[in-house]
Amino acid sequence: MNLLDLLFAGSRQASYQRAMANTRSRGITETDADAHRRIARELEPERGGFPFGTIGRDASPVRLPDETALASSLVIGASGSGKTRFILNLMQRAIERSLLSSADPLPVELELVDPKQETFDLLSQYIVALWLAADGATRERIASAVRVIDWSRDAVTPVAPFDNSAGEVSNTYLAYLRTDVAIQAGAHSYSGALRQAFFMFACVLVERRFPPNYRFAMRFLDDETYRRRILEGVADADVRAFFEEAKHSLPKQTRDALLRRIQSDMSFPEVRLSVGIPPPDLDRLLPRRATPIVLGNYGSSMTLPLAKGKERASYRLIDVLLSAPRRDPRRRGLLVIDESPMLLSEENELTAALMEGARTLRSAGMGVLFAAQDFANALPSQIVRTLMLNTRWWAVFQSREEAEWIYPHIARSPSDTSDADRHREFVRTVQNLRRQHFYLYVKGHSALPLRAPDVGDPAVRSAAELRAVFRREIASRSTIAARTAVDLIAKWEAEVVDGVSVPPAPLPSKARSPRGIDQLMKDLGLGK
Amino acid sequence: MTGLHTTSKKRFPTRLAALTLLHLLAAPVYVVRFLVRTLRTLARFRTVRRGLIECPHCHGENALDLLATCRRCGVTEFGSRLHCSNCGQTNSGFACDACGALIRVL
Repeated sequence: MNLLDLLFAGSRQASYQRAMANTRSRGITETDADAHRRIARELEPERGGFPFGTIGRDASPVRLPDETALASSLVIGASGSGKTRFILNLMQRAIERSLLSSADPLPVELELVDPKQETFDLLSQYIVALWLAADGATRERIASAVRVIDWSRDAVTPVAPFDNSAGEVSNTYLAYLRTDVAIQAGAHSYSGALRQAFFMFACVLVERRFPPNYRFAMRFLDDETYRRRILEGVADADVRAFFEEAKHSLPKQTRDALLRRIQSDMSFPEVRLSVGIPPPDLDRLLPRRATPIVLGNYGSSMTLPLAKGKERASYRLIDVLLSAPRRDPRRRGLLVIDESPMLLSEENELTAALMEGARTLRSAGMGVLFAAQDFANALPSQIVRTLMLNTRWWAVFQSREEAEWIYPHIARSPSDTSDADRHREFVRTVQNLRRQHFYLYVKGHSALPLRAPDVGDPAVRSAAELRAVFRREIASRSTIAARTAVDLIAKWEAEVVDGVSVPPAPLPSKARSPRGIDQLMKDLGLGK
Repeated sequence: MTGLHTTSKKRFPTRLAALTLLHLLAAPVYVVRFLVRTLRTLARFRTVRRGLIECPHCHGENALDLLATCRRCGVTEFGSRLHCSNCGQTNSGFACDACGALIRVL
C-alpha cells in the first residue's frame, strides 16, 4: 500500500458524502427544463450583454456577457436553418451599442467577410434603415463609421494589395503572402518555376509600390533596358539578380505562363479597376480613416469567377490578421467569416494565419466568428479540431455531424431510456430542428436548446430602395466610380509603362534595415 | 581451484565494505527524493480533498467525487473518480466534463 492509497482511504467517508451530493445535484431531482434555466441563469451577465435567444415555453430571454458573446465562436447550420439571421442579430446589436446606444455603449470593431453576399446585403439594408431613421448628426456618425468593400462595373472599392507602406511585415513576406493566397485561390496549376517567378514579380511590385498591371508586366519582362531601370529602385539584391539574369532564371515558357496568369487576372474589369490604381493616387483619393465597421462583399454574384472573390477576401483577411496584434485590446473586435470553409479548406498561409489567430487573437481583444453549413465534412479534421478547441461557444442549428459535438455537453436528467437510445434521439432532434432553433454550448456550461431572436426586417422601404440609398449615402464614401479608376490607371500607364522616365523608388519604410554603414551614418545625420 | 576459492573469500569483506559505503553515500539522495515525492503527493492531494478542480482549458468546474465506474475492474461506487477502493487503481487525471480536455490532478 503506498501513500496515495493511504490518503484516499483516509478521505473515503468525506469523498462518499460529496459524491452523493454531487450526483443528486446533477439531476436526480432536477428536470431538463429546470437544468436549462439554471444554466441560463449562470450565463446571464449582471448588466448589458448580448441577447442570444429565448429558452423554454415561457420564452425566457438568454443573454451572454459581452466578453463571451464577442469571443471566438462557431455557428453551424444547414441552409435555411436561421444561421444568417442569428449572425445578423449579433452584428446588429454590436452596431447599435457601438454607434447609437447611450445607455449601454460598447465600442466594437466589426469586420464582415462574406463570400456569398447574402449577409452583406441584409446587414447593409439594416444599416440604411438605421441611417434613414436617424437625425443629421447621427446619420453622419453612421456613414463615417462604415467602410464598404465591394465591386461592380460602375463603382469599386480600390485596394492596394502590393502596398507595404504600413510596414507591418517585410516587403518579401508581404509578397510571399500575396503570392501564396493568389495561387491557392485560383484554379490554375503552377509549376515550381512559375510560382517562383510570380513571387519575384510580386516582390518588384511591393518594392516599387506599383499596382498589378498587365502592360507593365509585359514591358518589364520583354524590354531589358526598361527592366534594368525599374530594378534600380529595388532594394532586394536577390530580386534584382533574378530579373537581371532573366535569360537563365526565367525561361520563355515560365515568362509566358506568368504573363498569361496576370492577363487572366486583369481581364476582369472589376478586378483591374479595384487593384490597378497606383497606391499614391489611392492615398490622395480615399485617405485612410479608421472605421469601426467594415463590410466586405466578396460574392461573385455570377459575374466573376468564384476564385476572384475568394482571392480578394483572402487578401483582406491577411491584412486584418497582420494588423490585429497591434490593435487596442480594450476595444472589442469581432471578425465574422461567413461560409468560412470556402477560405479555410486549403492548406495555405491564410489557413495557417487564421488558425494561429483563433489561438492568439483573444489577447488582442478580438474574436473570430466562423460560420458554415458543415464544418465536419468541409474541412480537414486537424483544422476542425483547432477550431473546436479555440472557440468559446458554438451555436449548432439544424445539422447532422455537429450534433455529435454537442451531445456530450447536454444536461441529462435520469430516465428509463439507455444512453444509446438517448444519443440516437438527440442526433435525430438536432437533424430536424426547426428554423431559428439551435443548441448553444458555452464552454464550461452545459448546452442549451434556444430559439434565436427575431430579426426585424427594415420594412420602411423596399429592398431595392434601401440598396440604392446604401450605395449613394454610405458605400460611396469608400468606393470610386469606374470612370475615375480607368483614368487613373491610364495616366499611370502613360507615365510608367509608356513614358521614358520611371518614377523614383519610394522611400524605404521604417521596417527596412539600412543598407550598409554609409547609409546608416547618413540616416543618423552623421554622413557626408 | 583451491587458490581461487581462497582469493574470493578474502575479497568478500572488502566488497561488503564497499557496498555499505556506496549505500551510505546514496542514502541522502534517496531520503531527499522520498521527501520531495511525499511533499508533492501531499500538495496534490489537497485538490482531491477540496473535491473540485477547474479545467485549465475551459475553466469549467469539475467535481472529483461522483458516482464513478472504475475502468479497470468495472466497480461503480460513490467516491473519488481518481481512485477505486475495490482494486486500488489510481488515475492521475480525467477528461473535463465540459470540454473533454485532459485534467491532470495527481
